[in-house]
Amino acid sequence: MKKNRTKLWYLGYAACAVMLLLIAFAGLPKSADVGLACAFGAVFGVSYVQLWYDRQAKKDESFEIELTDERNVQIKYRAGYLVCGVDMFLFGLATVVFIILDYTLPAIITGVMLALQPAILIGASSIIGKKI
Amino acid sequence: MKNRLEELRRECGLNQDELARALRVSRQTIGSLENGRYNPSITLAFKIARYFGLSIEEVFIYEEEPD
Repeated sequence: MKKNRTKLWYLGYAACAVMLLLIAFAGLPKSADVGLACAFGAVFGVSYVQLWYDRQAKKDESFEIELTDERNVQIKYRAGYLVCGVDMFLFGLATVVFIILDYTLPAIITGVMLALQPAILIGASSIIGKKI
Repeated sequence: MKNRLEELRRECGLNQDELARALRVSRQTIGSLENGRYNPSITLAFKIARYFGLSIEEVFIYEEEPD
């Protein structure tokens, strides 16, 4: 199962190659090229890091232990929860600043992102709750 | 929750690093368990108890929090 998951990350490299080919030869509008370049960076980064993690875990037993250690996993969850709260505060702050500066569109975007956070939290909790 | 981890580890002549490797957890986890800062999952509690050939109750001492 783990091996299959590792192989899946190589699909990320394949997707990156397709995106590069599209950028180079498809003659798409510039905005599409920029979007593809961003997607390329994200997919390549995530795939590379995941494959690097898997390689390190195979090479170094202590690395795998550090990754799977239950206290470290709990620290990661708690830190993530804290970061989520800080993110919401910062989004709220950014929204207020944008409203004060009369930047309507950025204010709407950050406001929507802020409003979506609890919805995502409820949705994710519901999905995870069904699995546990 | 209190535990006898440090006492049992010392009786076996192990250092934290050796016990951590045997239980496949980090050394910091052993340190936190011994200091009582961290309560283990039931899986890790079983692993620890089995490692020392004891029952969970013989390693971990549960005390109800006063109201």
